Amino acid sequence: MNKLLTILLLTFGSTLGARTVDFYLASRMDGVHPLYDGHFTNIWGYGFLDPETLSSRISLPAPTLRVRLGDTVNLHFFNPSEEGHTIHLHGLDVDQANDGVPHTSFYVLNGQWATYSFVANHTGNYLYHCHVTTTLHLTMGMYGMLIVDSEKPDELFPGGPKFDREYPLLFSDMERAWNDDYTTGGSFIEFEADHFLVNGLSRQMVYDSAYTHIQTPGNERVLLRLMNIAYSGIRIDLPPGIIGEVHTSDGRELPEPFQTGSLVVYPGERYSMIIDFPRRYVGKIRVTHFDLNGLEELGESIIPINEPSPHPFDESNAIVYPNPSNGVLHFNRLWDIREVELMSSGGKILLQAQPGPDGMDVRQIPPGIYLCRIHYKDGSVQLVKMVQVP
Amino acid sequence: MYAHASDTLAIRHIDLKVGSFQYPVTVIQGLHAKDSTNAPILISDEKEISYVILNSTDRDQVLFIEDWNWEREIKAGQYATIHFPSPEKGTWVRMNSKDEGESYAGLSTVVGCPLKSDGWFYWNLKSYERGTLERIRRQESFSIPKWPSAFTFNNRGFPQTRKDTLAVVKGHVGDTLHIVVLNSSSSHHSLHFHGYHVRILKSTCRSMEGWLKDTFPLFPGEIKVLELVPHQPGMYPVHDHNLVSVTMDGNYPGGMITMLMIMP
Repeated sequence: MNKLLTILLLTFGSTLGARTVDFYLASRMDGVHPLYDGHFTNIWGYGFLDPETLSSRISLPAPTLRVRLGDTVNLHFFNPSEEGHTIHLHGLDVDQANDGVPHTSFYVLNGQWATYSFVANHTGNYLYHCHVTTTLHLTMGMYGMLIVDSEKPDELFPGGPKFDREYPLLFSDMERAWNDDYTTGGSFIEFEADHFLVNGLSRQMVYDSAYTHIQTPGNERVLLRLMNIAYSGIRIDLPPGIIGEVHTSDGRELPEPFQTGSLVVYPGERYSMIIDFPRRYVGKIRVTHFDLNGLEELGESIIPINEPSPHPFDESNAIVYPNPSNGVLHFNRLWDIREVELMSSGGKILLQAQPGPDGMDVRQIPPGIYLCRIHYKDGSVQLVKMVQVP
Repeated sequence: MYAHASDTLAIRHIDLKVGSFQYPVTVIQGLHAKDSTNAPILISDEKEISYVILNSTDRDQVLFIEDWNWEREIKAGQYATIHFPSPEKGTWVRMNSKDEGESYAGLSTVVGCPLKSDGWFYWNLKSYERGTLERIRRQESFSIPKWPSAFTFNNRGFPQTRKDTLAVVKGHVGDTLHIVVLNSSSSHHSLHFHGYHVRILKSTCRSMEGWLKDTFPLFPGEIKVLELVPHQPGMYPVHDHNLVSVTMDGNYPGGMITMLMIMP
């Protein structure tokens, strides 16, 4: 697992700002993804790849790729799955060979490697997704965010507005029947989404993730990176009295920023909105998905702002509980966790699992002092001491 | 192709072959046109222009331009000389049938005056459902269907769009190319450009003038005028990101996809 931390290799050039960034990604068609009702559905997707062992684990959405303005970026892509896939770099205006459209670029077939390369010429919010049978491969989960940061980490683009905190939010949807069994989903003409996702999470799961539950103490400018890869359009309604300022769309500065309390984002579009919170605020952002054939409302997601949560995750709260353990460990930020390793004090891995809502069963571990190594979806790792009592 | 003042136009009922099926649609095009495209109608910014328009259908047709509060009736089987006003250069308006059924059946195009450019192109986005079209042709009652099955640029679905000289954008790096896009369908669409951002010169529904975008919405009845100045050569698709619309009769790829062919 340590190797996964080395997947993102940053090779610095001779001067700051002239970097070459290498990512290693794999595509797979054997993933599962939790839904709010406890059901696990099938996904296809991308995940970071260990280039030595070729091990990988996919997620929905795929890992967010972050680079800096001016970086030369190489996506080294291995496809061990049974069908051909590609990576389309949506909005990055790459050359034809790197565009990821099978008929004008190339397929990456089973067992093949490919490298997609580009220079990140514009800051902003972008997507990457498979462009093979897009209607199917997207709904199965083959998409993720790609963000090009400005040189200064607190500005939206060079010389642009500053922010204190940010939330990249990727909106998508799925018709569960397609994911449960894509061979019996029916005609795409009749596709009708029934799950509405924010960074892959739906309903109450959104409350339990540090990536989708906005936490701000106030006196802050919060940047929302709003991206839609759904089949449906979305309308984002800020809480009453809250106004956001929209500065960019599709990786380009707007001629004039505009202020709004409601923003409509069509499939494939991306926006950057900054909200000024002069004081601590509690409320909800409502995201309504609508059908593009008749504007019928299909469903909604709620993005909480400092809302009470059944699984609070601010840093003052326990990360692993109960501790000492009574045999079942629970984790806050549950939906942000990719994997948990339970290790002896000598570093030997005793258990390895992705915990679910029912926790992680550790009854077979004898009493003693252990370390929990928690791997989050953003690549960060946290070590927590855990005591197992008789 | 587009219509010049010297052309005689005809309103026709035709059987459009896209995908696996035939769709009974209504078009307005040059009298001698051999394709199934609605012609964009060019008018002058300097003088009023008249077109002779023949209505070869079995019903009276009322052509309607909402932006100008303008309408003209042509009786079934008759022709009329239609005068168009002289607009500012760069103006484009939608002309469609005032009858909801004939408009759903495809009688919808643009009237306007292009800006100076190195090339201009026309995309008329339309989706169809066959049963609804058949009821309209029989002059029966109908409602707008929830699930259209055919999705077209200029009454062609991909890959047939590649044969359409107005749908395939051809140019060179550094050219200034203009694309007039009309959403004639009752659905919302979200066009995505590969390879390039385009500047939106005109947007009749949601104000986006001056924005540089790679993906943007098209509301029912909306016209957007786009400016593309290619910075690199290449062959790239442009397609709807309303992903149902890149199918034809449920099959992918099809429907609302066209190509950009940019030479060095």
